[in-house]
Amino acid sequence: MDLLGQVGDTLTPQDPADRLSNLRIELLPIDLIVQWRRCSKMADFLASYFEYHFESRVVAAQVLSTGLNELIENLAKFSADKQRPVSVEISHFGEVITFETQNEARRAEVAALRARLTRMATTDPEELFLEQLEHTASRDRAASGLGLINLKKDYGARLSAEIRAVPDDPERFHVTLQLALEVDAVERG
Amino acid sequence: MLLKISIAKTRAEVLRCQYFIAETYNRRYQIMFSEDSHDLDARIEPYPQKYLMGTVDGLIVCAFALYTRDTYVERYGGITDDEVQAELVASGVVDRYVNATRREITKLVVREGWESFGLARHIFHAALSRGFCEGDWDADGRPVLLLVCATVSILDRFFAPKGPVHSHYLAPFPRYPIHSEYRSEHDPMQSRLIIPEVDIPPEIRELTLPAVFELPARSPKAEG
Repeated sequence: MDLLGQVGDTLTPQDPADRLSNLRIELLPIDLIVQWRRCSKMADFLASYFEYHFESRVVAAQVLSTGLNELIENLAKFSADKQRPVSVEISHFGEVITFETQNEARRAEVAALRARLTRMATTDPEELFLEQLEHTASRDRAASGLGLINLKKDYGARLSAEIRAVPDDPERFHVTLQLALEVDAVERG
Repeated sequence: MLLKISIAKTRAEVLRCQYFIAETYNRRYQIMFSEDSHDLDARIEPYPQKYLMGTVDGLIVCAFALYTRDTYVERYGGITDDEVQAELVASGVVDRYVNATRREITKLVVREGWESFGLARHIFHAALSRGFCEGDWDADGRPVLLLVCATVSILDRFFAPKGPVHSHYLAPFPRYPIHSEYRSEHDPMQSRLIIPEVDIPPEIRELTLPAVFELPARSPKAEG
């Protein structure tokens, strides 16, 4: 699939050969729509699976779960076809842990994602946090986004997306979203 | 072509109804569902407890559901006992509904492409049959009052004077972000009461389930 664009922070490429640990899960977005609590249960499960890589397990589980929950919720909300499998993959490289999600989204959702990631990459996280807090309180709790902004603000998380064309469907795009966290930042709490 | 309307009894039937309703609500209104936590401000709705499903050759083409307890209207609509009691008094049936339980018909869904077959009216009437909405689901033998909330345009479409079933206006339904996709200033939401003995004609109330209806013999529109 042709790469149409990359948006967000610049991530340092990780060599798969350096990967200490990896877990990939494929699921149907409709299962999350039908029971929304599955988003947080899945996030908690994945976070607890990886907490053993950290000295501060309790803090790590909380931080990882926050990021994963938001990515998983976004997979459910922004997948064009709720019956088409999407994936969540977590890889631990020693100094860095990455979360990667893959799904197909519609044009409008991809445009919104581009705008959001560009803003997140170019705006002070504190300012972004206050802005989003106000927006969430006054308008739309469903579109929170606070978890990821929090991870950027408190743990220096980096977030990037690759957008590729879907063959034979100009209205849909394949989105690979990656979040990278420095393990030391998580350990420092 | 035959439409069969039946109560979802097995766990598999209940799951199929939940998936059908959730998929449709999410596609149309960006709503999610949860059995153990809900938050209207975050667009997460609670599931009803009982389901009615309409099938054609085994395919679910419509569904309707019932909160047998913790009704949406009472939880989020702010309806008081006094408001319900006043309607019973006005209808002269207060003695017949002493210690009544309140249920709510909800989540009427018709499969995309099947909108012009009159399915909504069939399943609406089936939902008001004694066997479904007044079934002794909680095994307490209490009389049943029904609540409903919807936009005025939907209520007008199904209830008297357009249809044979009557209803009693209770209150405007408060505004929540979750309803933003279908309510508006011009088409607000209301909570209403249905008193089965007074408001539901006998031919609907005594309808036996499962019920089978003949549908026009033509193909549904392709799903979008």
